[in-house]
Amino acid sequence: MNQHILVVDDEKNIRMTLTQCLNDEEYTVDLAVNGEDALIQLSQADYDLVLLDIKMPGLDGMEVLKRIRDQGIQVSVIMMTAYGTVERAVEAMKLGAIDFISKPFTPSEIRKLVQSVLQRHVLKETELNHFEEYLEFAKKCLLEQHYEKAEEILIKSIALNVEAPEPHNLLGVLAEYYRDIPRAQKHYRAALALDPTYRPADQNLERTVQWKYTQAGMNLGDEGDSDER
Amino acid sequence: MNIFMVGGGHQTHFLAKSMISKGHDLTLIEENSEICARLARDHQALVIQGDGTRPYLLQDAGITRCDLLLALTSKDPDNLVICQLTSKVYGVPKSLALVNDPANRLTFQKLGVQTVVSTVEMITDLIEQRLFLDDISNLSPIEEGKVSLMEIELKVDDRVVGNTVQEASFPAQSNIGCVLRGQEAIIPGGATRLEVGDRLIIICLPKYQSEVLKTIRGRLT
Amino acid sequence: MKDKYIIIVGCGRLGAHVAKMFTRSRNSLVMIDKDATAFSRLSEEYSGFTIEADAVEQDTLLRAKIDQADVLVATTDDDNTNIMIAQVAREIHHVPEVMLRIYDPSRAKIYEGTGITTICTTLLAAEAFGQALSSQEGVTLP
Repeated sequence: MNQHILVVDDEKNIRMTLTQCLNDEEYTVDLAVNGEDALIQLSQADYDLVLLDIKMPGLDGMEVLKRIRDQGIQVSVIMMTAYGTVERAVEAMKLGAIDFISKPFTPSEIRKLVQSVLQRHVLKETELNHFEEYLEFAKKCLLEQHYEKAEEILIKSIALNVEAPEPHNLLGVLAEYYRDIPRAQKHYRAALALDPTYRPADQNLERTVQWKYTQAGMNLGDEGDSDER
Repeated sequence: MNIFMVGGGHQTHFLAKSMISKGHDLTLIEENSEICARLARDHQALVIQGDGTRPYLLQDAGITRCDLLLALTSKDPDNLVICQLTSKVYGVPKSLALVNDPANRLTFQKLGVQTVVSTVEMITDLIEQRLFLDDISNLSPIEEGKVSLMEIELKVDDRVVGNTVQEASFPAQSNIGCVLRGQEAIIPGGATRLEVGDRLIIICLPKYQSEVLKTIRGRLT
Repeated sequence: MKDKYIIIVGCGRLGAHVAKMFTRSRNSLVMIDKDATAFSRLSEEYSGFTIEADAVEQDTLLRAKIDQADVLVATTDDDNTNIMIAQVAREIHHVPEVMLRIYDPSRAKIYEGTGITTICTTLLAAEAFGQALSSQEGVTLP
């Protein structure tokens, strides 16, 4: 079945490289040059997946994501970040996006991610076999806001692969969602202890250190600063 | 020893002075003609103007007689190339490279450069050891920070003033190598009494520096 | 050459041209240059990533995901820089194919035996001149 993908990035060379990587029998790729363009295209056609650049002039990726969800569009989203940009993981998770990829990425990296995101929806809790499936199902739960179930599955997945940093990172994001920052940091540090080069946990840890959490709610800090790392 | 120095800018002058005074034969290679002129005027050394990363130039300069090469340019790739040429191609037994980016130190070592000096790291190490905050001068980092050599001047309210070395009870992992008193240099024994104004030259392991300080001052800062 | 992850360091005339050649097949390109204005040399059809940073700094190569690279090409204007980056790619990150451009062929001895491919523009140009001359005079040079 041919899956319909929308690529949203203000840089032409990125749009072209993604087209090359993904345009084949399995996927049809449409392009949007910025946030406004993306919203127009999403209102005119049905997509299975959106690859969304975060840093764009005008409407940035997070704003686009918010508007998509406000309009009730459920499509799967992969957020693309530039090196050094802090992932706003919790914010994205609340808006139903849990997958991030940082540029530059190899063809196999992006294809693998696209495939796992698209195949995620068919996973059933009773049919999970190996680590990757547990991890993907946990992400599915997070996206569907079944947070307790997600936590349960993440813990099970750790038992299947004690070396993987990703479940710990996701537990951290979840803890952050519950505003338990110390616990979140503990999870991020655990991820980094397993793999010191695992960037998402590194960035999440740094973000929790940078931003201030007030009693009234999450103070997301100055968005401008987070991009100036 | 026959020593080659490539680059180094103005610091070359002082290094050259020091090496020549110790009796070494010096060849200086420098790209800037003004610096070359000054070096030639000030020092009894062979001064060559040019790019020390060019094999023909090193050959003309007589690199095959060289015992020690110092690559001191401001560009890390140049220093790497100079050291690799001299050791791999011309068989110079000892070489040293300056790195500007501390992260390149490990890279250089993996690529076969024997001795790598990172001035940025040296300074940050000093700061991290908090030695600037005290009236201590760290004389030299030996063996990449495995041994600490410090000079500490005794002040009036320091705890050990008036004690003998034995009474002062310095940590076992430290050693007062020398006491400089006025113009004298004393190699102390247990009975040597410490006075105000003495400059103690102490050798210890870096992690015991704080204890040594505490012993001397009676407090940590 | 399909689907290779290629890192090019130095977006000068040569680097931009090499990028153009590699763009044709289905490859993923990363172009690194200290100066972002250099990227204007890239052709309209360039598809790939650009990173504005100094590739002599270790962090830059990690950022470009050099450990996953299939090919690294060093085409800055400075021989020494190319020699350093090529060796880092080959000896430290074990990139399978490493190519560099140098002007001064005598420096190639440094990395002899490491499997790095040298493109010496000086020698190539000289050969080309030689061939052009010999074909004009009808003489075959040795």
